[in-house]
Amino acid sequence: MTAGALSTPARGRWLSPRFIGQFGVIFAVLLLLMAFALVREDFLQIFFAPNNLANIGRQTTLLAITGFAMTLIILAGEIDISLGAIASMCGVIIALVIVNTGSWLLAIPAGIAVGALLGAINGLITVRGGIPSFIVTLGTLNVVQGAALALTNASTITLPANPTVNEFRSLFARGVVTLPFGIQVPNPVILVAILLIALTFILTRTRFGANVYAVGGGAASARLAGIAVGRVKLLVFTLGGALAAVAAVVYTARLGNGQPLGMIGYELDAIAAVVIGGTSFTGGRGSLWRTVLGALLIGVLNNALTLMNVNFNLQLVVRGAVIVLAVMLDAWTRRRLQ
Amino acid sequence: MTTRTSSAQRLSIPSEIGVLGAVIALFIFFSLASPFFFNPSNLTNLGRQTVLLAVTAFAMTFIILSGEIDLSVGSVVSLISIFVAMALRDSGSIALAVLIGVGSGVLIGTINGVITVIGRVPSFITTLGMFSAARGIALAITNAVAIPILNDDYLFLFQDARPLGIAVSVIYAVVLFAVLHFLLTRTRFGISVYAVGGNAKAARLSGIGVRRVKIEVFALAGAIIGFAAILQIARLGSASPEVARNLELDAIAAVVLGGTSFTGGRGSLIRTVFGVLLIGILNNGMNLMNIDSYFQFIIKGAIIVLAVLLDRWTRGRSG
Repeated sequence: MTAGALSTPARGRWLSPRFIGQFGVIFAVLLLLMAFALVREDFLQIFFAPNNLANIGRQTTLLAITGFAMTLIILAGEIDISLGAIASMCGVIIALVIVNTGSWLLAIPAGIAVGALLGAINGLITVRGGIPSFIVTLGTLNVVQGAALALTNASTITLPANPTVNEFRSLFARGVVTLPFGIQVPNPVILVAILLIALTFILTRTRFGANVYAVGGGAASARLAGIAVGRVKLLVFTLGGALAAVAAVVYTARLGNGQPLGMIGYELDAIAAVVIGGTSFTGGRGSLWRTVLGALLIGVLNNALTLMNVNFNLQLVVRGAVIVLAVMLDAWTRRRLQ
Repeated sequence: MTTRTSSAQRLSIPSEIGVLGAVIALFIFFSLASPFFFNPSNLTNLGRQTVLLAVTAFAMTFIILSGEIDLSVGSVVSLISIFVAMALRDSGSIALAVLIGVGSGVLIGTINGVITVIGRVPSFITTLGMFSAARGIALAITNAVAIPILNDDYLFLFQDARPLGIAVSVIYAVVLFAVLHFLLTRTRFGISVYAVGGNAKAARLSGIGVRRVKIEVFALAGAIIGFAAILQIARLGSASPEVARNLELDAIAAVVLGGTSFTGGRGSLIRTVFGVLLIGILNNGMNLMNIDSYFQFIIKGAIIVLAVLLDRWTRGRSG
C-alpha cells in the first residue's frame, strides 16, 4: 500500500464520503428516532412494539414492490410515471377475475399478464418511437386510467367474503409467518424478501442484469459493446409492469377490493424511494436493497411522525425535504469520491 | 444574430403547420359536430378555461427549453393562490396581493433553481420534493379549507371585466405571450435559454453562465406561475389547497404536443399556444358532445402519444 493510504486516519475512514454514501440513509433514520425519543419519553417503547414494527412492514411493502419496478426502469436510464395507473388497472383485473371465476389462482397470472403487457407497450413505444419515456408514459397513464374507469364504471370492485377470498387475503396481506424466538413476520414482508433476492440475483448474476446497468450507464457505449439496447429496455419495462401487478395483488388482498384509481400516486412515491435509497436518477448506478432502505425510510418517517402526532400535511413537507436532501447528499459524496 | 434567429424561424414554420392544422381541423370538427361549440358564449368559456393551462404552459416552455423539468407547478399554483387570497383578505389591497403572488412565485422558483443547479440535484427530483412540500404547506396553513375571494374589484380586474367584449383573462394571457415571446426570441437571455438547453457544455464554452441562466429560468417560471395563481382564484372565486392537481402534467403535455423538444433547446412559445389550444378545444368539445370522462382520458392520452410519434416521424423524414 502507498503512504497515502497508510496516512488516512481511522476517523477519516468512518466519516468518508464513501461510507456516508453507502449508509447515510440508515444514520438519518437512527438520528431521527433518537431525536423523537428525546422529545417523547415512551416513543421508543411504542415504536419498537412488535405490532408497530409489523405495521411499518406492511405499510412499506407496497412501496418496496413498486419501488423494485421503478428501480429496474431507472437503472436502465428510463422512467415510467404510468406505474401507478398500471397497478390500479391490474388490481381491477384481479378483483374482476376473482369475482367472476372465484379463483385467485387464475386472477394472479391474469393480473401479472396485463401488467407485463402494459409495460411492454410502454417499452415498445419508447424504444421503437424514439420518444422520451416520460412523455410516452404520460400518455399511457391517461389511457390506462381511463380504461380502468371505463371497465369498472368508476366503481370499486368488492371481493365477496368466502373461504377462497379469505385464503387469498390471508396469504398476501393479513397472514404472518412465525420465525424462531416467536418473531412474527407479515406475509407481504416475506414476499418482498423473496422478490429482493430473486431480482438481485437477476441484476447481479445474469447477463441481462449486467446489460441493464450498461444500458443505463450509457446507451451509446452499450450499443458499441454489442448489447441490444432496445431489447433490454423493452424487457425492463415489461418486468416493471409485471412487478406493478404483484404490488396490485398485495393491495387487492389488503383492501379486499379493486379500485380503478387506487394506486395512482404510487409512481411518485416509488421514484422517491428509489432516489432516497441512493440509486442514480440518470441510470446505471444503484441497487434494489437501496430501494428497500429508501422505502423503509419513508415508512419509518411516516409512522414515527404519526406516532408523534404530527399533522399529515406536514408529513408531506418533511417527505419533500427528505427527497431533496437525500439526493443532494448523494451528489455531494459522489463529487468527493471523484 | 438577428439574421440567424429569423432564418431559423423561417425553417421551423413547416413543422408548426402540422399542429396548427390539427387545431383548425379539431375546431371545424366540433363546430360541425356540436351546435353549442361555435357560439360566442362557449368560445368565451373556452378561452377562460384555457387561460390557466396556457399561462402555466408558458412557464413550462421556458423550463423545458432550458433542458429542465418542473413537476411542482400544480402544488405551487395551489400554495401561491392561498398566499394571494390571504393577503387580499387581510389587507384588502389588490396591489399587495399581486405583489405577493408574483414575489412568492419568484422565491419558490429560485429555490427550485438553486437546489437543482448549486445542489446538483436533477430538477425532476428537486421539483418532486417541492411537489410534496408545497401541497403539504398549502393544506397545513389552510387546514384544508378553501378561502373565498370576496373582493369585487379583484374579481372584476382578473375575471369579470370584458374590454371590447373579450374576457379579460384572455387578454392577460395574450399580453403575457407577447412579452415572453419577445423575451425568448429577441433578447440575449432568450438566446442563452436555447443555447443552455441545446447543449450546456457548448453554451459554457461560448461564455454563457449556464447555472445563472437556469436559475433565472426557474425564477421567471415561478413569476409566471404566481400570475397563473392570481388568475386562477379570480376564476374559481376561492383559493383551495386541493386545486390544480396534475396541472404540471397537462402543461408538459401541451408543450410537447406543440412540438417543443422534451430534451430542451428546440421549440417555441407559439408551438405551446397551439398545444394548449389543442388540449383546450379537445376538452371543451368532448364535454359538449357528452363524451364519458373515462373516454376523454383515453382519447387525450392516445393523442399525446400519437402526436409525438407523428412529430418524430416527420422530423426523421425531413432529415
